[in-house]
Amino acid sequence: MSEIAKDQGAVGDWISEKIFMGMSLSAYFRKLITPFNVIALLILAVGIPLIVQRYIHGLGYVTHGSQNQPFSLFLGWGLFTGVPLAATGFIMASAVYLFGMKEYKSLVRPAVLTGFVGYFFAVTFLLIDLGRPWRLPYPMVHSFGPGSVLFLVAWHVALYLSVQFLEFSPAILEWLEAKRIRKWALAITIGATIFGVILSTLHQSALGALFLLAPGKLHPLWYSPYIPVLFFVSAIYAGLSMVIIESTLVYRFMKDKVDPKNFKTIDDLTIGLGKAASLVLITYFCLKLIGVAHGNHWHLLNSSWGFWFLLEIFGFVLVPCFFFIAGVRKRNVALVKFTAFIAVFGIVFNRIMVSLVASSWSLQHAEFLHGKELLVVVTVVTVEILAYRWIVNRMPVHREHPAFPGGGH
Amino acid sequence: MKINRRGLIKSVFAAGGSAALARPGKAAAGVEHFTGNPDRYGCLTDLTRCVGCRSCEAACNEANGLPKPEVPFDDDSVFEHERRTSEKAYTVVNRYDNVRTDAKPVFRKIQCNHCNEPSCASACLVNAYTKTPEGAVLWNKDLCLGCRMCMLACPFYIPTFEYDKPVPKIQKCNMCHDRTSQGKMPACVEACPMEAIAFGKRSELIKLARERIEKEPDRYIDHIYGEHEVGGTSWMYISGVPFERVGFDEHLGVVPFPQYTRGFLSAVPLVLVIWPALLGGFYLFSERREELDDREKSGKPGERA
Amino acid sequence: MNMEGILRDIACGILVLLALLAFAFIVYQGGAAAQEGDASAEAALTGPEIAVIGSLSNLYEPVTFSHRYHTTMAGECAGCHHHSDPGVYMKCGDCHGAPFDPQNMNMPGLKGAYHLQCMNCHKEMAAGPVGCTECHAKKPGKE
Repeated sequence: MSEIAKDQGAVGDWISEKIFMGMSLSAYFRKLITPFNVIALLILAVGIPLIVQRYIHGLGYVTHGSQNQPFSLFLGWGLFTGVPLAATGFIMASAVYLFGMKEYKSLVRPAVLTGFVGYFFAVTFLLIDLGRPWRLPYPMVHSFGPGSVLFLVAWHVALYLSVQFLEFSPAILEWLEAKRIRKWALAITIGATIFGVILSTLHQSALGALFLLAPGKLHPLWYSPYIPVLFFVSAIYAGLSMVIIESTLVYRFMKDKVDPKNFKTIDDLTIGLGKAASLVLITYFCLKLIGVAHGNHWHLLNSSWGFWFLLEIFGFVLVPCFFFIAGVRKRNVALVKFTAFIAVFGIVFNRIMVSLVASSWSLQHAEFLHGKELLVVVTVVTVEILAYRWIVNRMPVHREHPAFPGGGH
Repeated sequence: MKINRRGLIKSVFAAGGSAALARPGKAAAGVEHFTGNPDRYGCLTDLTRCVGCRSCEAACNEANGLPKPEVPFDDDSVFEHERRTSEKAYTVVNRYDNVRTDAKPVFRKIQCNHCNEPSCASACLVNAYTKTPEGAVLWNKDLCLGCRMCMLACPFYIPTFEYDKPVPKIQKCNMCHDRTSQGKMPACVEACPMEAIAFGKRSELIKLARERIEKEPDRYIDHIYGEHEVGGTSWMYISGVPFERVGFDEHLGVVPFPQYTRGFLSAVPLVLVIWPALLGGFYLFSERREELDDREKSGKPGERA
Repeated sequence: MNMEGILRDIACGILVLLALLAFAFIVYQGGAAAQEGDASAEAALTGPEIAVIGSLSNLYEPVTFSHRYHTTMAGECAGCHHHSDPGVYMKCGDCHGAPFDPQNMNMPGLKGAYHLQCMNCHKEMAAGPVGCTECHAKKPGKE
């Protein structure tokens, strides 16, 4: 064979191995036809044209964003909910590398990947929501508004995305089999982890601090000077719960991409995560009560808004806390897994309340759900899941790469 | 792969140092008593004079080149429901029932209040708002990303966003800054036939308002709205009926809104400095414990604890 | 000649005299009043019958102001020509110029003075035009 033909053959082999996982094109495409993929394709077929329309006609095409209520689901879900749910990275990395809990090592990479994908798509939602998304780099390079909490969020999300990418890069480099760069990438892990925790502390709380500027607009039961702390603490148990959920789903639906050794330890690890989450949940519950006490808003609990607040802190914080404790005590892994879903739902509930619902409580005419908005959100989440799956299928996330035993650390 | 102590300290400093440098934040200046430019202009709207003729709306529309509205300016039917500013109307007049005399409804003009310490300016992450020395708060179209944080921050619900444009702008009253810098009055002030809006230095207007209230105490409520609310605004109001009854929010307090985030922002440098040491410490402790465990297991004589 | 007849004549004569005196008195009073009315009518006659106020017209046509009608209604001058010595009747624009003079913030400018003066009285009397186009039509092309 000529040199050129050999090179072409090499490239073709590389693509076949890395992208199509060693299958022939036809075999690959046949494997793609699953119920989940078909539904996903339908969603994308509806959603992607909508997104294109949003750029042609303006934001009003897909949201009910009004002059009185500037934020919609794109920020309510994409940014305010997506970011705490992507807190998995800094939590697991600090648990393993800073606090020395080496037994959780098998969960670090998936957690970092969840974090990276989560933040990446939070930025995607931002690009959809911003009036002039091409100006996204402005607060980074062009004009600073350092008195703004949002400025802090912008910088930290950008930096944290880079840090998560760097933390995940060993997995990518193992996939690409680039030995020397990988060594360098591993060396910065501790520094990156510490940096990541600093950034996370600040921007998780900053997302809450944004609402400090709206004292009259956010309902007093949710508004408190402690919002930054509340957001940060809840992000911690959000991350822990998401790690449980992620491992549950992957170990169930993508068994062949998981290292067989991990199946033996995952139950213990899940119990351990449940234990940690229960501690954080009870702390958060007490902090919420302190928030109400601080403003002396006890009388507000006796109202329709008070009902939703009590539902949130009892039904979605205290109840999962008790379920976690019960699951840990009785070694009931299924209960712990189930409770993780409740806890995450509680996070979604809280963030949507703060960013959309309770922040328009004084408006006579408040709307926060538009059909097209929901479609776009579902579309982007579908892309997110597909991207995550694509990466887990190919890269050594839940398993070790045969050329790099030990996973690197 | 174990990292020795030196390597750890190097990487922590690199992380912490770049963190500190990466955020060009400044510690809260802690300005306790803001005076601003003493010569800044303001406007005083006397609600006892406004007759709801909407000449101000028409003048604003023309001066800013805004599209003509569907309902013309001399049509009274717009008063049937309470309106707010929009991307095509920087100012609107609303009608309210008079709680003192049924005969004469009260009209109230809404527009940007050009706060002394604007919440919108503090919220903007690219510094697209400026409080000018003339008093007007201006928005810069060359910087805005369209994040709409200013809309959340404004206690008066003023900034409007062009949701229907692919390249949207924030629209709001700019106190006719180009006119006032040439020594002219804002368009709405000039148009008002009843001189319901007085224009001049903010300090003079406060004196004028007090004078009017003193001269006719039965005619006015003894309060200048905007003198102290949210730290003071350039656009102020005096009224013959309680302000709450004409659409004003009387629960805003006197604290300028940027103060509310100062606490959080001043905690940021603390985290940037303390966290590296704290977390680095955790790392060192856990490594040390592992090292001791290893030595114990392998039976080697360990360092003294 | 009988006494009755003479007394009757005298009584009639006195009655007629009294009637004449009364008539004269009434006529005199009426005349005096008429003379006063004539005097004020004379003063009103010295003011313009109508005044066209158009120095500021930009969006609207000039106002055709019925001065005579208003003086009759008011019965006196100082109600409108205020803040001046008695007998001195200045035009509005003699005092009211540009608004918002920092030395005298409470003095309205000319346009404000016109509208405040006219409309406040119309509202108080519950009579008289208060709508924009009731006094002056919109200029064509100034919609």
